[in-house]
Order: sequence, then structure tokens, then C-alpha cells
Amino acid sequence: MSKDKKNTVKINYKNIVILVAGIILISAVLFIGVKFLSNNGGEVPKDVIQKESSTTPYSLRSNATDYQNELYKLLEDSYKNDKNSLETAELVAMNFVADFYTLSNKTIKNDIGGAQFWYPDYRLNFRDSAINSYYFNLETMIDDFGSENLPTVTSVNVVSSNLNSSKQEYSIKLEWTYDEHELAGEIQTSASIYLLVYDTGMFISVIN
Amino acid sequence: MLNKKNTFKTTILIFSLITILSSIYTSFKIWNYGGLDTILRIIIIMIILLVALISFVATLKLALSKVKYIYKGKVKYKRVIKVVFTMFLSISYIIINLFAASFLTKLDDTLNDISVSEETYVGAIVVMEDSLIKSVDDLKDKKIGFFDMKESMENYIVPNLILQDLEMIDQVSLLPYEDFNFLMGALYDGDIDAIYISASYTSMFENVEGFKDINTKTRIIETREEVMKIENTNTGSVDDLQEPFSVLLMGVDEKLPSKNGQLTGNSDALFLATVNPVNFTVNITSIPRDTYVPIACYGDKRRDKITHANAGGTDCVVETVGDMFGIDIDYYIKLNFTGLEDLVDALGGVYVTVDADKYPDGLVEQNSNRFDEKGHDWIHIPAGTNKVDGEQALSFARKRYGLDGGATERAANQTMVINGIINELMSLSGVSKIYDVLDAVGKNFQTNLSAEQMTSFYKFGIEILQRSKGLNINDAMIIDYYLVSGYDRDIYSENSNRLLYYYVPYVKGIESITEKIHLNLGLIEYKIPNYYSYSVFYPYVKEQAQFYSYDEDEEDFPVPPLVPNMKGYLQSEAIAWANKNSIPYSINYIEAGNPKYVDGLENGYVLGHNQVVDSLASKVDSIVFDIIKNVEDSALLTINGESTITLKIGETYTEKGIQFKDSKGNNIDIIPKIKITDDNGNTVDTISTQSENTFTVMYTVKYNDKEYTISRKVVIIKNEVVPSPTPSIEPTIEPTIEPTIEPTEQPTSEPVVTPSITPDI
Repeated sequence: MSKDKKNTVKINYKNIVILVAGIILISAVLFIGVKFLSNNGGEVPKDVIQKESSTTPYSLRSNATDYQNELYKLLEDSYKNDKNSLETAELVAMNFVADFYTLSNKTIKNDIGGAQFWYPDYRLNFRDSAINSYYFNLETMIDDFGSENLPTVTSVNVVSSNLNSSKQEYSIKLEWTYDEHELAGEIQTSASIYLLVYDTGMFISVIN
Repeated sequence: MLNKKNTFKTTILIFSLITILSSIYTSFKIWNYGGLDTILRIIIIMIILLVALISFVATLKLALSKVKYIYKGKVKYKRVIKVVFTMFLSISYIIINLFAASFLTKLDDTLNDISVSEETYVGAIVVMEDSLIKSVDDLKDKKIGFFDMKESMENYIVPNLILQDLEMIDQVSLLPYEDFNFLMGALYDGDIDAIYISASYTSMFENVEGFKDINTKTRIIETREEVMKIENTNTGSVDDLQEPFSVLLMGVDEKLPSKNGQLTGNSDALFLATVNPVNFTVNITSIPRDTYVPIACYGDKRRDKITHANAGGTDCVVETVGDMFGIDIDYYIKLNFTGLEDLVDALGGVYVTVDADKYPDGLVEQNSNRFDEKGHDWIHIPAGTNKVDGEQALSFARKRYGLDGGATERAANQTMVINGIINELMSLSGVSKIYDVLDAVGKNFQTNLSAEQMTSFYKFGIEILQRSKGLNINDAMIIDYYLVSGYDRDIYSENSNRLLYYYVPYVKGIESITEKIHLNLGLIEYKIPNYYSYSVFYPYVKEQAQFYSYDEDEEDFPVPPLVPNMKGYLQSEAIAWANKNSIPYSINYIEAGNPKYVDGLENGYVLGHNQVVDSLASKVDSIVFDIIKNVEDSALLTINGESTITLKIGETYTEKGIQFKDSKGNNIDIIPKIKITDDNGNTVDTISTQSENTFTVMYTVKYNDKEYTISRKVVIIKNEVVPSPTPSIEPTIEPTIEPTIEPTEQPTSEPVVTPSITPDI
């Protein structure tokens, strides 16, 4: 009888210690993990890595807006038909504008929208330029207004477009609109974009 | 068997205890790690203790219950594995704890070492090296000069304490000087016997004309340290670093480390950093040490080199820089130059770029032992982009002479080194490197940031990591480097009676940088982006630490006539200068055998003079030139009597002859060649006074393969009033010696003696 009692006590002690320790450990790890990874101030998208697209040399960001998703689908279809057509050129430019000028889904200044529409050799320099100019105060704007109150491009329209066949260059003039946002003063709503034709498709070379 | 059992049990128990103790120690260190949030610290400690508890229970159980199975001989395989596994976990846990605890201890100690709440001031009494004053006791009845800022700890208060303690204040004469160079000049000139000054005074003067030999010309007879609490406006709160803040980085050239290990010395390199932790932007502005700005702690806030703000201590330097850019600087960090070397070595080197077009062979500079009497080494920094070690990095940062851009280029190079260090720190990997970095930092950094504030910087890094998941984090934080642009000027300082080099900043340059600083600190509104353009055909180039010229009138600093450095002048040029400035002069001929003599220099070469270069000419009473006189050319042919003689017709003429002496003034016995010509150029045998004529008597002497000539004019006139004597004509001496005529003071040569040679006329 006493032997049984001893064994029972041992087993209970061990199990209780392990159980309690396990619960506390798991809770603690979860807590630290959440604290470590969560942002203090604003929303952080779960994933800002670009989604790789298999049908075009471009890509769509994983936290793209609905409008960006829509435009990208059109681009994919047009690229499949003719990767160097005027329509494709227009859609590349439109996709770039929708990504670059939408600030509401960006969290850090080096998450430059639309970099994927520039030829790879020039991407780094383009990013450098954007980081030190248009995106320079992004975090402060997020802090001041909140991401959701930053501009989101809601529609892009092509004003004019043409092909300079000798230079293999497309020029596209665009205008666009934003949803309601809190940035005071005028922000850019039009631009001229030039694209060059490469083997894999068209990429932007100039925006002004 | 029983002993073995007990030994095993004891060993296991000891391991259990060590596990618990090491965990407790680690928990204690983590609890003191103020930079972590409290709740996070509690959670981590709980985990550590819990794991320790489990490990303790497991090993205890092992100790108490399983032994009998092993020692019964029936080795149960599973139990052996359990024993080994439990012991392995236990030991591993102990090692992890000890490692973590030692790392945290190291970090804690380092941060507490560099975070100071008090400052050490080291003042000194300095005399000339050849002074008879050997100790403070010898200062009785002597004159002691001091920089006229009685609030200055190192330049007045602390040195004064030396005499106060010995009750000698009433036994000396204390004389104030408004200018450091004036003060040191007075010591050099012997106007005063000693000076009160900071123990690190040499770095203030070693680049000033006239004082470059200060290390060997002066010596300290006494120093004293005083430690004072810093009036710290820093609350030490971690929350303060969540908003934009500014830090002044000061590189000091510490020659005399203080007893308590704190950094002393004047700040020779200045960088103002502003950090915006919200926007992840930093800008760092390099300020050359000779920048001409109002000094905050000067009573009249007059302009001076910014490095002279050290006279008022760290506070004065911080305030002066703050005034320059219209901000209150929140923190400072002092770095010893030696520390820079150690830090770069700890990081494994940093990348710097030497312009290969401007310097195809790279750059060469002395190492940090440049004033070591035992000698110094030259350090080479190759052209192009290279990874350099600590010594090279320090030499590169210090180099000033030989740079095309002078002080500006030096500041740009210092910025490059800082940028290199930041890049290496951000990619720091490897535990051993971290330890080396902490070692370097602990010995050579000092700051008024609290340890908690410094440890909270990790939040900055975590914020960046959180936001930039999957992205390259290297460009997540922007660091911009600026340079205070200005122009070089030599400005005459009346107080110190010399021309001093200053770097005068462009007004628009300061305004431009001020705007950027204020933007980064959130003091002025940033602009919402409203336009973007880019072209792949015109790649973006970010200019860092660039020098800009501004379209503004440069200040004019009129310079009165000053005493030039006449080394290399000819005797005639030196005399001409003296005459032009109406300064009486004399000549000290330097011949072979004289320590100042330099072989190979031509006769009449001016080695120097006894006045301070760039001092006011109008204050010079007289000047003595040191002039080379070469022995083989120093024979002197002079004519006895007037070089022009006027006689009436019929008067008797007696030729007085010549003298020919060597350099020592000894007569040289030699027969000259004599040629007499009349006014038609005809050679005649005698001088006839029977009619009007003008005769030239020319003496020619050959000596040591050189020919010397001298002539006299004899003018025969009618019996009328003899005209007033014509001024003596320059003798036509052909050798390269400058004629020894028209001195306002006689040179130190022998007086004229009667000739030993008389011509046969």
C-alpha cells in the first residue's frame, strides 16, 4: 500500500511540474513572439515581399490594393497577347503609378512602389532616388497621419500615348486620382512616362 | 560502493545547484538591463528560472532515484541515455547562462564606464623647457600668466588650486591674457615665467605658426585633477530617445589620461549628429576645428577657432556648436583618437577612398607617435577604395597638410571614416568581434547618455527589422553627411600679435545645414512630396560631405604689415624690407663652424631673423638677420680712404692703397694689379694733377682662384670751390659677396686697420 502511495505522489509531482512549466513556457514564447513582431504604432502588413509572377517579368506586391490587383491582371493578359504592344506599355505605366504613388500600403521608406517596372540594372539607383526624395518622410507621415490616411491611387487614365519606333520607346501621358487622404497641399496627379523595349518586355526609363 | 554512490550523488547535486545559481545570476543581469521593457525582462527571467527549475528537478531526480540501477550492474540502456542526456542539457544550460551573463556583464560594465555623470578636469602649470623653474616651489615671486576666463576649470581654477594648496597665491603675480596665443607668446618671449593652462594644451598650439615646437620647448611642472559633477540636463529616460534628438561627437587627442580613466583633452574633431528615430534619418555635420565662430563662453562672445571653446570645458563646446545651428544639443559623445584606432581594428578595418586622380600614390601621414622623441612611423594609405586598419584610418582622419582641399578635405575624410565605422557596425557579426568592439568602446568613449538609453537603441534596430521584413535593411535608414563650407583666411590677431589661420564658414552654408538639421529634428515642417521625376540616363548621385561655394561676399580681414618669414631671402632683400619699414637692422654672419651654418647655401642667404614671423612690423624695434657667409668667398678687398677724391689742379695726390683681409679680418699679404685710366679710357702710368681729368685707379687681386677688384676715382678740377664730397660709390667687387656698405649698425667685424699694401704709383 505505502509503495503505491509513494509512486502515486512521484508521478503527480512530475506531471504537475511539467504541465505547469509547459503552459507557462508556451504562453511566454507566444507573448514574446507577438510583442517582438508587433508594431507599436501602426498596422504592419504581414508580408511586404513581392509576389513573384511567372507570366511577366514584373510582379505584384503582396499587399497590393484592389485596384492594383485589377490593373495587374489586365497587364498579365495584355503581356500574354503581345508583350511589346502599346496597350501593354500603357498598362505597365499605369501599374507603376498605382504602386509608386500609393503610400497607404507602405511602412518604410525603402519599400518603393513600382520598382519592379524598371529594368533590373537601374532599379537600385531608382530606389536610391525615390528613398531620398518622394519617400524620404514616409515614416513621419505615417506617424503624423496614420497609414490609412495616406494617399491611395484609385484610378489611372491614359491621356495620350505613342510609339517612337526608331528609338523603340513608348511615351505615355497619364493622370490619376486618389481616395480621400490627409496630406495637405497638392500632390502629383499626372506624369509622362517613357518605356524602352527589351528582350523580356518593356521597362520604364523616364518619369517626369 | 557507497562512496562511489555518494560521490555521484554529490556531483549531480552540485550540477543542479550550479544550474540554479547561474540562472539566478543571468536573471539578475537581465533585470538590470534597463534598456529592455520591464514586462519583457520579467518574461525572460521567468523562462530562465523555469528552465532552470526543470533542469534542477530532472537532475535531482536523477541523483536520488536512478543511481541504484546503474550500480547494480544491470545497466539499463535507456537509463544511461537519460543520465547522459540530462547531464548534457544541464551542462549546456549552465554554459549558456554563464555566457549570457558574462556578455551582459561586459555590456553593462562598458555602458556604465562610458556613461558619465561627472567630468575630470586636468589643469597644469607650464614653463619653458630651459627655465630654471623646476617645481612649484620655484614660482615664488614669479609672474604667471593665465587665459582671462576665471570660470575655466582647466585653464584657471584647477591650476590655481595647485598654488592655493601651497598657500603661494600671494607670492606670485598673476597676469591675465585675452588670447591663448598671446599667453603662450608671452611665455616664449620671457615676459612671464609660467602659465596656467589645460594639461592638454599642446594640441591647441602644435599647428600654430611659431609654436609648432611646443612639445619640446615647454614642459609641465605640475598638474592637478579635479572631478566635478556634470550639470546634466539629460533625464536618462529611454523615452527621450523615441523623439528626434541631437548628439555632439567630439574626437579628443588625449595626451594625459586622467587617474579615474575619464577622457581629457581638447576636442579636435567635431561632428554634430541629429537622429530622427521616427523617420529613420540621421544627419552628421562635420565642423573643422579651425572654424571661426562666436565662442559661447567668451564674455564678449567674440569669434575664435571653435577648438578654443575647450577653454570653457565640454559645456562650452556643446553650447558653441548649438549656437552655430540654433539648437540645444541633447547629448555628447567623446572619443579618444586612440579609441578610433582600437575600434577600427576591432571591426576588422573600414573602407575609405583616396582619390586616385589627385593622389595616384596614395597619401602618407605620420602615425600617432608623431611627437614621440623615439621617432614616428609614416603610414601609407593607398589610392582607390581600400579597407584600412586602425592606424591607417586614424592617420587618414588626421591628415591635413598636403591635401588639396586643406581643412575641408580633412573634414570630408573624417566623415568617410565615420561612415565606414557605421557601415561595419551595422553589419557586425561574430561574438568575438562584439567583445573587441566593447573593449575598444569601454576604454575610449565617454558620454552623458545613460546606460539605459544606450541599451534601448536596440528598439531602433527592431523597428527597422519589423517594418522591412524581406527587404534590404541597409537603405532603410538614411544617413546624410554635411560639411561646413567656408574659406581659408589668415587673420591678424592683435591680442596675440600674430597671423593666425582660420576657416571662415559661409553664412549661406551654415543656413543651409541649419535648415536640414531643423527639418530632421522636427523643428520646422517637412514638405509633403508633390512631384517625382527620374531618368535612367541621368543616374541619381547622392552627394555626401560635399564642399559648396556660395555666392556671397567673403569677409575681408585687412592685414597690417607683418614681419615675413625671410628664410631664403637675399641679404639685399632683407635689408630692403628693413629700410622700407624703417626698422634698424644688424647682420649676424653665419659661417662654417657655426651650428646654424648650412652647407651648400649661397653667400648672403638669409637663414632667418630674431623676430616672430607674422608679428606686427610696426612693433619691431630692431631686427637681426642671420645670413650665410661662406669662408672661401669671405676675403674682403677695401679701399683705404674715400672711393672718390677730388683735387684741384696742382695739388699733390697720394694714393692710400687698399686692404685685403680674410674672413677673420687678418691682412692677406698680396700684390694687387693696378690699372689707371683717364677719362678717355686710356691707360696711364700716373695720376697727373696738372689738368682737369678724371682718373680711375683699379685694383685687382687674385685669391683662391677668385678675382677681386675695387676702384677709386680721382677727379682733378679747376681751382674753384671744391664740391661737397660725393657719396661713397659702391666698390666694384666682383665676387658673390654682398657689399658690406650702408649698414645702420656696424656688423660684428673687426675695425679697419692701416693697409699693409701701398700701390706703387
